[in-house]
Amino acid sequence: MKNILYIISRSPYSGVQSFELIDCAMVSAIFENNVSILFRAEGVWSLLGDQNGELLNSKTLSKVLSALPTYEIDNLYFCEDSVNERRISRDQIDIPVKPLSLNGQQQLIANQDIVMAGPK
Amino acid sequence: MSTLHLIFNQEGLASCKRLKAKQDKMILLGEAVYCAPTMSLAGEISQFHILKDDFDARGLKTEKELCFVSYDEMVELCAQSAPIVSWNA
Repeated sequence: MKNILYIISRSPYSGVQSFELIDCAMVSAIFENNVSILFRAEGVWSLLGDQNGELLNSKTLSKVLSALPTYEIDNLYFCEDSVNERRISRDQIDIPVKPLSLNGQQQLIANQDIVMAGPK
Repeated sequence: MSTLHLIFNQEGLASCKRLKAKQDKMILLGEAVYCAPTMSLAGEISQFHILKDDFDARGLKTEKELCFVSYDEMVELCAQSAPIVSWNA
């Protein structure tokens, strides 16, 4: 069992990258790894509730995220600064995700065996 | 015919703002719709049309009165405008 962190830095509908990283995270969890996901930079837009990907002929990311606890992925974090910079209020976020300071994110990364972040 | 600017992301918005003429029309679509809720504070949002499907799909909400357009209305604006400039950087 390994500690694996996925970092989502892109907004949800600019491409399929976020969906692919989440798919990978789910597969990692099925193979009994200890999976964490960090949302930062534009990636924090993923956390808004009430998305509707159908309008863009896409899956809806917020619905996919709400399935994560079913895969026993409970370590969900977001970069506090990224959320504040974008003036996203906490009541727009409707999945259980914990805020992390930059320091907290550094510690999170240091505790991993593997860190997966998509290409920028 | 008036000029229409299609703005696809935040970088595009910054570039367009520097180069557009005062009377030009602008549409925020794709990633650029994320700029709309924060812009509304500056009172400048009234200059923009915003593609409604792109805004709603991303789960964005606003209390300000934004000038939303549908795909059909965007096509109409495009048909009425020349030149049309696309901004994504």
